[in-house]
Amino acid sequence: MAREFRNFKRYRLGTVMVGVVFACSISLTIIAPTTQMQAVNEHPSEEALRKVTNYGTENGWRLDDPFLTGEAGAKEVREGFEIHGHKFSGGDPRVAKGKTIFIREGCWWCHTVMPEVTQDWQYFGAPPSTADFVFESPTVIGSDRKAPDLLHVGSRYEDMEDVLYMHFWKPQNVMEASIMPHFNYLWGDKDADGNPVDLSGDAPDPAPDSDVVALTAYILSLK
Amino acid sequence: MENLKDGTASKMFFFSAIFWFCVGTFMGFINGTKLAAPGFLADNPYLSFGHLRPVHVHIVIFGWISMAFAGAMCYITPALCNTRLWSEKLGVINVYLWNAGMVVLITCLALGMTSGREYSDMPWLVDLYAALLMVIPLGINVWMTIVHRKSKGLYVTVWFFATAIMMLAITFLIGQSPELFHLTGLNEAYLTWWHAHNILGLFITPVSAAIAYYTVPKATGNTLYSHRIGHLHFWSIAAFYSTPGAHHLMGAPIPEWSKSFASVSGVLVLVPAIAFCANLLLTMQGKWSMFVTNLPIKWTITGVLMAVPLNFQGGFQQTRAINWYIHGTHWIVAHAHLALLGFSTFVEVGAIYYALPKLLGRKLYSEGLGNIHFWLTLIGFIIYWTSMTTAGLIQGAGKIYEVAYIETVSATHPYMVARALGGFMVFLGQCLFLYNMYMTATAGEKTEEFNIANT
Repeated sequence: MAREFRNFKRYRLGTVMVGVVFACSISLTIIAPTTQMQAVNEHPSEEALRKVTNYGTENGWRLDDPFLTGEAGAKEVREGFEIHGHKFSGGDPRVAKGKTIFIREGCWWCHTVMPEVTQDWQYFGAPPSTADFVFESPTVIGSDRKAPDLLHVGSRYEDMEDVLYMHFWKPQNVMEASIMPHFNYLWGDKDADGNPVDLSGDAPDPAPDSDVVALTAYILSLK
Repeated sequence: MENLKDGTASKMFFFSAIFWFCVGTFMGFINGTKLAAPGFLADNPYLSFGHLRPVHVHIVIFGWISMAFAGAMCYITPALCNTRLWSEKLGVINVYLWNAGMVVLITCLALGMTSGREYSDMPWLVDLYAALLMVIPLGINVWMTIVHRKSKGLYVTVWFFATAIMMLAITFLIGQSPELFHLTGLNEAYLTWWHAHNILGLFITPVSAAIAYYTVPKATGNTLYSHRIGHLHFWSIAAFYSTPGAHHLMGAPIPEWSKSFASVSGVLVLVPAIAFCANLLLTMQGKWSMFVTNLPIKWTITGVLMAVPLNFQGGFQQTRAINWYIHGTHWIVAHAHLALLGFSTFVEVGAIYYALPKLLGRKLYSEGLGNIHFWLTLIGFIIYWTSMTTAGLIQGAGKIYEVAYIETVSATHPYMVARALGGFMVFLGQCLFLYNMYMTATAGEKTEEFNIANT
């Protein structure tokens, strides 16, 4: 034990300094910006309130929905819920479920949901403000854009569910050069009329409780 | 388990790492193919691009890179401390826990069980498993070996190992705080990217550098060019590698001052980077012929040379002047691969070619295969990097000039094909690597049995 202690003592100053330097360094970049953004959290924008009313408390992995079916979030939205003392009710449960499916299927690996502050105004629309994200978790803003930004996609495709269904069924039917994979498995087993879904045919009307209906509701809620 | 030979844990970590490297690069090749041919393997939900992309990233980071790090730590720390690994048994248990964690992690991500946060995609239960049963046991083994050392002084490599594991554990747990404490809004995004930045900057980069600090002097027989430059490298990493975290969110509405601060401190990262590259290249003085003739040096020095463009990219691409053009494009993906597949991987493979034959007590089975492995990986990587960088510049132009998005997709398509081809070459190289090492273990010419004196 004595030798071990001497071994440590020789580097005591170095060890303490590493701790001090690293602690100062990380607290500088964690405490200051997060405190500032926390102040914004006291003043959520109308957009943030509209979004979170539809999303529920959490759309990523959660204990009561380990396989990300989206049902737990949808249930919250249907029954009303509370975040940090704020009460929410009257949202669209399909949107909550849809956002979870958006995360599960990894749509955000290609589609960003945040036009950049520096450009993108003309093409993808206005960037969001800090207050637009309050209460949202996760934010899924994305980092690696291989596909169009989706923040205002609901304005571009208003009431065009059918086009989105065709697109999810086989994106190349709508946009020939698209490199998006098809998501026909989101139709589930049965279509709107209760017939088995034939994956080799054209897109059938999806059943109202299918994943694709929820995902489309989420996409169209992005305005 | 009682009479484990010295080096058992290290050997097992290295073989697991090489296995995961084959799987990880295969996943990369599959993902690359999907971007070139979108219908490929798209019928099964669990093989869809959105599921397999995080699987690829996590296998190469946690399976290949981190396990190769663990192997190198279990080999190098005792060697430099002139003692045995504190607990070979704990090391072996750590290998099993790590591999079990890998299986759980891959299963979760393939099933779509994700937190929806880049680089911290795993559900928080799996995150806690990784922190407590994968990282901390490794840390205990390394720290206790250092405490029980028989040598007086500590070499640069050991400072980095001891500190990097601590920084990794802290970074990792802070990175999970949005999930554990349900932080919302941009704080969630900010901490996610703070974590993503630092998992690379405080763990992968310093540990790769630490390994090179060992391999180059050991294999060449030269002493390290400058201990003081090593100090500069170490302290500048500890002081300001974590500060530029916000530069990943230059396009997001986070406080403007934090972006400026991140940009400036991001350029400062060139200090440790140049210190490291210069120190190792100068250590090569008089031994440059080994760059051609000696396999470990060939890999390690190629890695160090790739750190030069890597750090100049890293230092400048995050400034406002450049970031607005290339943010979110394939350029960034190329940069990430230059860091992990270029710099880090080459240094680790060099260390494995150096250490594994010694651990096995046998000569490398085939130098020739080792050379083919080198060129396949290097050429495959260069094809990948060049095509992705070009594609990124095309995307940047498309973004700035506001052309219809689908035009960018069409224009970058040939580069996606090249990317898949490069990825396939890298994968093929790693299969040769695994074969060569398996043959070394079973059929290599026997040399001296491994002990701490002949590291």
